[in-house]
Amino acid sequence: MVLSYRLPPVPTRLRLAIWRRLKRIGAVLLHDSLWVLPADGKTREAFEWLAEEIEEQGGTALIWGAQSVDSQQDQTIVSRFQTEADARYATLAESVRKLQRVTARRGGSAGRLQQIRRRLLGLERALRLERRRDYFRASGRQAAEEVLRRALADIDRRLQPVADFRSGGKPYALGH
Amino acid sequence: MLWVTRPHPHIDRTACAWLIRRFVDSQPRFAFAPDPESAKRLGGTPFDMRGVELGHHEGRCSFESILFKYDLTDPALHEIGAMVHDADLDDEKFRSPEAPGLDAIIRGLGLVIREDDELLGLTDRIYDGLYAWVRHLHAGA
Repeated sequence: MVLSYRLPPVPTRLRLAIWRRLKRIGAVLLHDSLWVLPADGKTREAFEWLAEEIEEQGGTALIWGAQSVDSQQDQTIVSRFQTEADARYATLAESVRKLQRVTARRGGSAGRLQQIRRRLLGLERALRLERRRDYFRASGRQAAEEVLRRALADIDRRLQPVADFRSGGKPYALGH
Repeated sequence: MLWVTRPHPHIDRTACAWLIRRFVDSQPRFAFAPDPESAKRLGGTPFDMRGVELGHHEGRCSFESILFKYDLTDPALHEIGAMVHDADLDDEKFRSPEAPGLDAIIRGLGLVIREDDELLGLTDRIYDGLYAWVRHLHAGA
């Protein structure tokens, strides 16, 4: 599915809002003017409502259900989706590792660890968004999920009060 | 009154149908049509379609447009509106914690129930339950 649109040059804020929405649903930009999404009920609806908004703002929008003339071209476009998703997964995994390095280097008080844990949970939420817009199961997904899972397990272990281990008590239910 | 929307309703349309049935029109009939022109031919009020009043406008989803148009001020309905908005537009405007779960349930039901009327019958009960729960939270009882 392909969307092409034109907006009045001002205000910039509006152009940015539309651009952000397209990025948010994981559309890929080809040749600086064509936004592409795989066709399903949800993505089609997203394009249609965006087109409606663009027209409400005085712009014009065109949507096509498109078919490539050869399968090589399809594959190239699929690779673009995967490359972009992989880049986002890599950024997330790097943010997780950065937080892990902070705890490894400085350890820290329970309050500090809780703070880092909350940031990890924020990254977990971001990862769920990635999964929703990763239309072609990019290879980086599993690695990013694994890094995050381990980081959370690690911090939960550190937050575990020592007394609990001694008494054989159950760990906190910090489920995620 | 006859209300018309596009077939294979997802989150916004199922929620709108419930809202209409419970708070706008006590004797509604629903029909499905692919576009506003066919809706007009059926003689019904179209909702959640491109270019109609009860659609997406100024950042509102169709459910919110119905709340707005019919002056529905019940805070519980607005909270459900926040869930529907976030699930439908996925822009985290309200950061509704229920939205991703609601989205998963309604999308999943759409995969196993092909009959649109049957789907609306079931989703009506889901929104009844959500509404009762939100009212319960607001009442604090």
